[in-house]
Amino acid sequence: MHNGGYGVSLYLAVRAIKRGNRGTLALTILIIALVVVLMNFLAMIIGGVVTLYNQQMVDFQYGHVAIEPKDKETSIANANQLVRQLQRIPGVTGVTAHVSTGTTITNTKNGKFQTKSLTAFDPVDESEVTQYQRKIKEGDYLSKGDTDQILIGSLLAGNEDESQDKMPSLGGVKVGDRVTVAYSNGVVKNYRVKGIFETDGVLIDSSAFITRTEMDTVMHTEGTATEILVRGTLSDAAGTLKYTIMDYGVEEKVKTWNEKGKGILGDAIASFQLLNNIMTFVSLVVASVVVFIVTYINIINRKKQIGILKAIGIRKQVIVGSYLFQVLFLCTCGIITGVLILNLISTGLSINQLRFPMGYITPVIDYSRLAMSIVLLYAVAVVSGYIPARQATNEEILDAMRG
Amino acid sequence: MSMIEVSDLKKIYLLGKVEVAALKGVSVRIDKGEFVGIMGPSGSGKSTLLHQLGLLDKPSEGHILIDGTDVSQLDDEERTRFRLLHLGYVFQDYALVSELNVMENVAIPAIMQGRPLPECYAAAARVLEKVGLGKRLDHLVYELSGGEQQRVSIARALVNTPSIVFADEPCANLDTENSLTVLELFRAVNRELKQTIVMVSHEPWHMEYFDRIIFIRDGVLDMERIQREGMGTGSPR
Repeated sequence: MHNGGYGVSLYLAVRAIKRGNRGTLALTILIIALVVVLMNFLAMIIGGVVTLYNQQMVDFQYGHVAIEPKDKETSIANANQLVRQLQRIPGVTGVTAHVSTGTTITNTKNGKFQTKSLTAFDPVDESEVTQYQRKIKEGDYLSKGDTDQILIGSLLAGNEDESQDKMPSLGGVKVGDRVTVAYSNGVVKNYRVKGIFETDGVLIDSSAFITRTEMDTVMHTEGTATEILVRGTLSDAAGTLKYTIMDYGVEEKVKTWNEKGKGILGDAIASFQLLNNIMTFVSLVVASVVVFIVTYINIINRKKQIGILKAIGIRKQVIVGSYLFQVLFLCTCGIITGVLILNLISTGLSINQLRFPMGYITPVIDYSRLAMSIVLLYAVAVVSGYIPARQATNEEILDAMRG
Repeated sequence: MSMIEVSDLKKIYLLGKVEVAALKGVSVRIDKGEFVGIMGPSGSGKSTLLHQLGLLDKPSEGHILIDGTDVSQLDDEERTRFRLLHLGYVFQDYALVSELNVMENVAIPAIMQGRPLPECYAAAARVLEKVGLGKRLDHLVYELSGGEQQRVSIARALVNTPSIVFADEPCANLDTENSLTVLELFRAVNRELKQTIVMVSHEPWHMEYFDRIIFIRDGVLDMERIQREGMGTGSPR
């Protein structure tokens, strides 16, 4: 385009925006902003769910890397030796060996019972891998030598009023109360509830723990483990840590927290993502229709003006360009407003958090997705603005000037 | 010296399936510096002729030579460029851009030529001063009276110092006083700048301003009247 081309487009666009209808301008910007919000809101919530879920998996369920028994074996035989070996691996900051067994836990006060997998750990080792020690709601965390004490989750402890329970519980166990644990080998033992923990995660808060010393005494599990959890420095580096551990000759199954947790929420997240993609598509269609209608009405109202501009020697491309600049301006303002609204919503929901089964979530804006939605929005807006502008400028001068 | 040479110009419109001949073979010559009026009854084809001469419409047949260029051979892009560089327009309904102020409306054809913005604004201000609107540069179109808007339109037509100014019934929406102002302005521009002007009118009292009048009736040249000595060397063919 020769001199005076896009410059004239911009010149005309700036003045059309400055002196055009403010109400229409504000409304269009608001609609585009809401489209941006719609395109990213669900992703923001999903992001929060995924982040929380991942954090809980690392902090309470698997550490960064979980080591499981070899195929066809129910436990890791040489657990103590393996733990010592793992502790020496560079990048490992904590190792804890778990032994889990199926039990029936009964509240001696009211006779209510639940069948649960009871897990045993060394409280000192455990505190270097998981965060239970920091989530004690009442009472105390386990000590290394505890033998007749049990740590139970708040949901398993439950409430005396059953209607307040979110899942089957022991009906209101308090610190100091006693519960009976019936083991799979027939042993039945009475324990004092030493502490109640609360992580807000449904699966986690319905579990119970005793010390390795106690489990080894009852189930004779000395030197074995049903799983070993390893903590490294960073969640994102779990993959590297896994291969480092494997390189050190560990023959058991080594899995990252991500690999372990994929199956549980994976399907739900995939469904959410599908919904999110549908929402994004619908939002894009809405955006393109809105921009088309706005440009079309704009052009219908200014058809005569387009004719005048053509008559006095303004090129078609320049006139189309001026409408595209206006569309880009509307889009940019809409996108900025949309991102601001999205951040406001995110901040609002960080203060008044949404409660999900895994706890309270803090929304996480996925900026790569946001960037993609912005690019798509610009693309549909430009196409939707170009078509009516092109149609109008192709009209004969005198027809256009008649309006 | 000839500015416009038209030979056997025909324009046929299609109204549904019916062909309507608006121009039935008009040949005319307009000299450089002439102020020519095109007159005739309603529906005679005078505006149609002006639109063909001003490259706002394409003739069905015939040739138009403007300042030595056969404009009938130009494509759309070239016609647009030709209009920008060589022609100026004044329309009956002023045809100003409502979102531009007075100076911007006048400057826009100059800006489109790629001239620096300060130079365009200076040129616009000069022309606006000449048409008596030097103090209304920042006003928006709706803040002006009809007569003032038409003077802005004339200023816009003149800003690029075109070869020809075409005016299509520029006084049709104006009262007598404003019409007089506009006509005086055209006469002054024509005399002082030797500006070629072709104007369509149906008002008999406008005739005294024209150097020569071309009368059209039913799409053909009816007669010509030379108003001033030394003018009107063009003749129908």
